[in-house]
Amino acid sequence: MKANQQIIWINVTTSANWNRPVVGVVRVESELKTHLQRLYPEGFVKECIWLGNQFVEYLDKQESITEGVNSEVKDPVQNKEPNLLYPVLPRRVALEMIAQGFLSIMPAKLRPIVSRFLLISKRKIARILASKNYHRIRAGISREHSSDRSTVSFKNNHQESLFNAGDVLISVGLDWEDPGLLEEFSRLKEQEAVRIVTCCYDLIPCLFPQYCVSDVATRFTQYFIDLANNSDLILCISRQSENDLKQLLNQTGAAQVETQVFQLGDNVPEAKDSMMSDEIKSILTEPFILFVSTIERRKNHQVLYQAYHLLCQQGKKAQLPKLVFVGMAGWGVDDLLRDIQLDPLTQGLILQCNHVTDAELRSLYDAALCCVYPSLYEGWGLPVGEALALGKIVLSSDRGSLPEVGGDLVTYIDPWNPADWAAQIWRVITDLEYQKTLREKVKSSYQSRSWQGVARSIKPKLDELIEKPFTTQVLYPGYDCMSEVGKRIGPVIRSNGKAGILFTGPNKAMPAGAFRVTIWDEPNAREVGRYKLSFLVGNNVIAEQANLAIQQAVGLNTPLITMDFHLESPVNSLNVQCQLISGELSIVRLEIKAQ
Amino acid sequence: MLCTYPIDTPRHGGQIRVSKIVNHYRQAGFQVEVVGVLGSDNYPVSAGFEPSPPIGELAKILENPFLMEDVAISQLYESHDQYFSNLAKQIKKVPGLIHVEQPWLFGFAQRYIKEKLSHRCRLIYGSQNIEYQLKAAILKSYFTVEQVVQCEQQVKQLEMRAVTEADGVVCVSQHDLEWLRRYTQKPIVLAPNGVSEWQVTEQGIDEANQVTCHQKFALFCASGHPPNVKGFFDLFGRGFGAMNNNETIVIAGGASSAIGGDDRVHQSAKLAARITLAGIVSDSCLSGLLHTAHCIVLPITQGGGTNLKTAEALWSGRHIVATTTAMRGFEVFIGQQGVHVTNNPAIFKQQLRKVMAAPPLELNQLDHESRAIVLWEQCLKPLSLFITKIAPEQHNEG
Repeated sequence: MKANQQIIWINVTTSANWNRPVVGVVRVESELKTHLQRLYPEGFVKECIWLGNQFVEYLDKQESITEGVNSEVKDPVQNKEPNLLYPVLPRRVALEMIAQGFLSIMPAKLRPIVSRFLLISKRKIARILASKNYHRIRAGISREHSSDRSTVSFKNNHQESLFNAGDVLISVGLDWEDPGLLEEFSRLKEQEAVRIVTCCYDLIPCLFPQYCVSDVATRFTQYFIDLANNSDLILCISRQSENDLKQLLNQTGAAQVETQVFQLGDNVPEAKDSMMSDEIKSILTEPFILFVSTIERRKNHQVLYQAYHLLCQQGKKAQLPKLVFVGMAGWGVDDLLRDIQLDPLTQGLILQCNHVTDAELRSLYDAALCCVYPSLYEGWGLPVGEALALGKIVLSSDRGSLPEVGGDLVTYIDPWNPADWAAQIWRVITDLEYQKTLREKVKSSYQSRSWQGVARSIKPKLDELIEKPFTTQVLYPGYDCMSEVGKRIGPVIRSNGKAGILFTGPNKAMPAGAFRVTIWDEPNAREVGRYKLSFLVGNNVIAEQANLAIQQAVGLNTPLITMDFHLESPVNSLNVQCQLISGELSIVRLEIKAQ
Repeated sequence: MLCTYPIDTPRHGGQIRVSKIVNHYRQAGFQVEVVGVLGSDNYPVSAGFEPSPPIGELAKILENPFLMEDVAISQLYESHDQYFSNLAKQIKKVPGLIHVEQPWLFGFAQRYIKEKLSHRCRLIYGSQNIEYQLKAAILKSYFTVEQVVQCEQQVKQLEMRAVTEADGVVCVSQHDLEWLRRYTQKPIVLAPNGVSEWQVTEQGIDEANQVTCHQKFALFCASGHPPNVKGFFDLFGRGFGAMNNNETIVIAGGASSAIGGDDRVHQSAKLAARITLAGIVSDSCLSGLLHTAHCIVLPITQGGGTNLKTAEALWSGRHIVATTTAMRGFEVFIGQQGVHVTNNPAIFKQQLRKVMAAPPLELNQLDHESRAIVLWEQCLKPLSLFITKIAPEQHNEG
């Protein structure tokens, strides 16, 4: 048995494995961890990572990304990853590429047959990859090859679970990339009574699959159904995401899980590093409009290009500031980038910057004439908040959650209307009085959202989860227990005239405390005899009543037996065991109540 | 009794209904001969039944007899002398009353009476559905709009002839009765589909447990009849979150392979993971499944008749989540304890989730007894009196 102290665990797997420039999800995970650790007493909030088959404690001391405290401490996971020639791909993408490669080297005649075979095997391979055995083997191999990692960074205990009943596990990373993780949440919630807190960033793959790499709507709908099933609380980064999620859960009949909106912090990292690339230095010498976002179809760089094209067509090129896209080019924008490259009208006006450091980004924000965000849909829209936090004028799309970020401080424009964008951009760059008014309004009114405030906003819900009392458990032995001598008939276990273990279960974690178990049977099915009732933690009997009599029932609403037991500390596995010595019993349900 | 399926070993709803009606007539003192044409190659050879006609013969009648075999059979056995004669020879006794179940052999019966009988023989039309509407709904998935309209008209013509020219009509629901009344002033009797009492055996429970692996489950038992499959996907498509990790929908009967082999099962998120395909199961296994099910789902969105499976679900005493179409003929039970009815797919799924989380349904003695009206003997009770009135001379207590 473990000490009776509940812990808030934060799954930091995503940030621990991240070795590229920080993106939103990594920032959320990292900032929440840092600021929750500050809000709670020392040792109350701990970090863990998922190894593919189990959670282990993570002892690294990476601090806030935005504050950059203790930045000299290197991420041990990153330390051990060699510099790779190609980026590591998600497993699904890698498998698809392997299959495509395999097909391309096949003789043309064999391709249809092999393709069919691969299609048929797809589900089987997916099952193998999701199976516990695979993860066990994989984790074993990975441990063999990186023994120093586990000894330095992880506090491992393979025999015992990391969690106590009643602990809270917060997981806000790239959880959709590993289906095994959701299965583990389910097991932890059901078997170990861990309270699971997860995050819904947006439902874009379900609502707008056309803007995604492939048709991912089904896969992500499945993810959100599982997430709702396996979570006690889902944090949503906007009211829009919360509404979208609830609508999807309603439409699919999924679990009605509790949700809480938490708006992301928008403090932009400080520019500590004075080193700046020549490209950025050059941009900073002239006025420019800034758009911070990966370049993908949903982000709608297209409308800005069209707006600039229209303005150039109207003979306004000479007065136009540069338009700077900060972000990597993603999928489906090749034609756009080619248009921008070749269009003689806009040539030289639209620039794209990649691999911008935090310091460079901060300098770009500071120097920008205004910021634009024409996205077709967002679950939040962090760059809008960041721009406003730095007092910038923002022209933004009015779709998704964007109005939640900008309130009435942003000029909203229909993302499908290039002429409107052209008109608004032109007004901002030419009407200096208008520019001044907008800027002053932002500076005087915008309430920046700190990560500390974000952590504080979710603390009451976390406290509720921690303090949530044990709720009465109703168990149906036919579903929840095993039997040696009885027959399982739907929810019921009925004896068959044989002596032996009639039922044992549910093999679940329990918090510390005093409990009362009530066992209900079918009074009409009783035959006089004797039985023994035991309570076991692992193999240890903690309470027992031997030689109990089975008597004819006196009334229909009388239970077979009621028995109390006490747990000094939380346990990982409690079983109630009924051994039939003689007679007949038909067990209908067990109720475990806290006393 | 004229019909297009044998009833030696009744499996689907139509067979069971005919078999029960025949038993009912016999128990009421009538002598009954069952004669017909096998409507499909899948039916086994049976005494009194002409074999299923070759597709070539049907194609001479209808350019494309796919899903319209019954209409082609109807015309073949009425108009083609050889086929008419073959079927007529199957009738060994001289009938005083012919009960034609469904409209397909109604034309044959009329010609038979006209040409072969010298006395007055009454004709009863046994309606199981508003056939032309059901046919149109089925064909919609396969044919063009023009083809559907054309086929619908052909069925409607046969059906209206049976309705208007029969001496009496037996129907299965109040809804159908009201529809029929618009077209005929002849006597109509309501004899809904029912269910036989079943006994669950140890073997049946073992067989059911092998299917379900002791999981809590909702049962969907249906034939592979296209409306059953369509209804399933109408209600459970667009993502299925109604079940927890340790729960499943067991699909038993012909619908099992029809649904399992349908791409739509993989297009609705989580649906494939939440179904267990039991296939066609034995009677003992079915009774085991009905006994151990937590809930029975009736996601039926098409059809004008009544559903035998609804009667079965009601008599099982389990929770029921159903559509109004599935509850047709059993409207009296809507809103009663454990009966949840909705046509909205999202609400259907939400309701299923709630029911799966609820304790097992426990009906009190009174509620259980009130459901006895779904038993066949109760459902068919008005029938013997009805035909006695139509053909009083046929009743033979001996």
